[in-house]
Amino acid sequence: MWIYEKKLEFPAWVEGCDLKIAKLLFAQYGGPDSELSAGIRYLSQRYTMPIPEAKAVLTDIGTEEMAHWEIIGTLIYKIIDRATPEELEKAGLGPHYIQHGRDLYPHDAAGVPWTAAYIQAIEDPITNLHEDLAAEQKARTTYEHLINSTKDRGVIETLSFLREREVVHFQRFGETLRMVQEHMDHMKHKR
Amino acid sequence: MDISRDRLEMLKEIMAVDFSLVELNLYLDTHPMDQRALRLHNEYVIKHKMLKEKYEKDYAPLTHRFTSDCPWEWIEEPWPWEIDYEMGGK
Amino acid sequence: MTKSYTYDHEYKPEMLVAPHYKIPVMGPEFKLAEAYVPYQVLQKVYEPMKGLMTGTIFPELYRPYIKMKKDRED
Repeated sequence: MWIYEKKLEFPAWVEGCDLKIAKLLFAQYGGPDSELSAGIRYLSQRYTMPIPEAKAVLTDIGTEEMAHWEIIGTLIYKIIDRATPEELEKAGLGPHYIQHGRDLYPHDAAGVPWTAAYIQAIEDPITNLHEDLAAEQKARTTYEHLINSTKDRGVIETLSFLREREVVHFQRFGETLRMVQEHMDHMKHKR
Repeated sequence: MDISRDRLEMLKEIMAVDFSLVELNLYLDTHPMDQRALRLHNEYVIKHKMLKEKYEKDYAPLTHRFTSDCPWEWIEEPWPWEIDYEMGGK
Repeated sequence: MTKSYTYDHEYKPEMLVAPHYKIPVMGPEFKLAEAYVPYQVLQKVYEPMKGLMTGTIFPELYRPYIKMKKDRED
């Protein structure tokens, strides 16, 4: 089960009020390669994993991704909280403000709502883990695009943290793949 | 929203130790026999418990599993997304 | 045991690929059509606050982002 710890994983901060990056940050809040996709993907795949190490990795990384989802939400909230409707409109957040006010909402940077079509879970653990490795690379790349798109020091520092997490997650999924490969090979020869 | 300097410092210290625990957790998931990592993890757990106990006693609960005064302290502000972590150094 | 793919020791993959790509030989225990990420082994760890600011406590996993020339605004 999940319980809530009343603190962020990272002290997320924003230097100013870069509304343009707030709009783009929705890519990682509700987009195809977002933290939300990652969390739901891994937490959905964990049930059929054949070895305990894999069940642990998918549960633990899935849980951490939800903490990252919270950080992205925090960055967006800190930026848009102080903005007027006119300022939001000018930055391209007009449609979001009309339909959601200043609430967070799981859509991508263009306003496209999140869908489970962004994720896959297909039982074969080798296949699932390759999906996960790809997901971590897509997230890393998206963070790099976002870092390129702002000069706000707080946003850059927070996104750099999140980007480095993707590198570490890739390594863990790679190690999990090695174990699952060995396991599947061993099972094949037991018969 | 702002919290006191001392409270913010301790919160950041907890964030740092807890992050080390997350990293070691993931590492141990794929290296369950690594005794060096297990030792480090166990050391950090002790540090975490000590810091958490002090923070919850002096400031505010981190999880709902704590003994509360009246009124129910869990609902108190600030919530994590409201805190100004002052990282830029004003 | 699965029949592993063994190399004729004079016929190395690096000879078949353009020389500017260094493709080291992976021994016969590695199988074709499978992907391998090297296993990390714990060395030293960063102090907690440095780890938090870096995004990892493992120096060997730190991959700082360096902007490509065309992505820089200067």
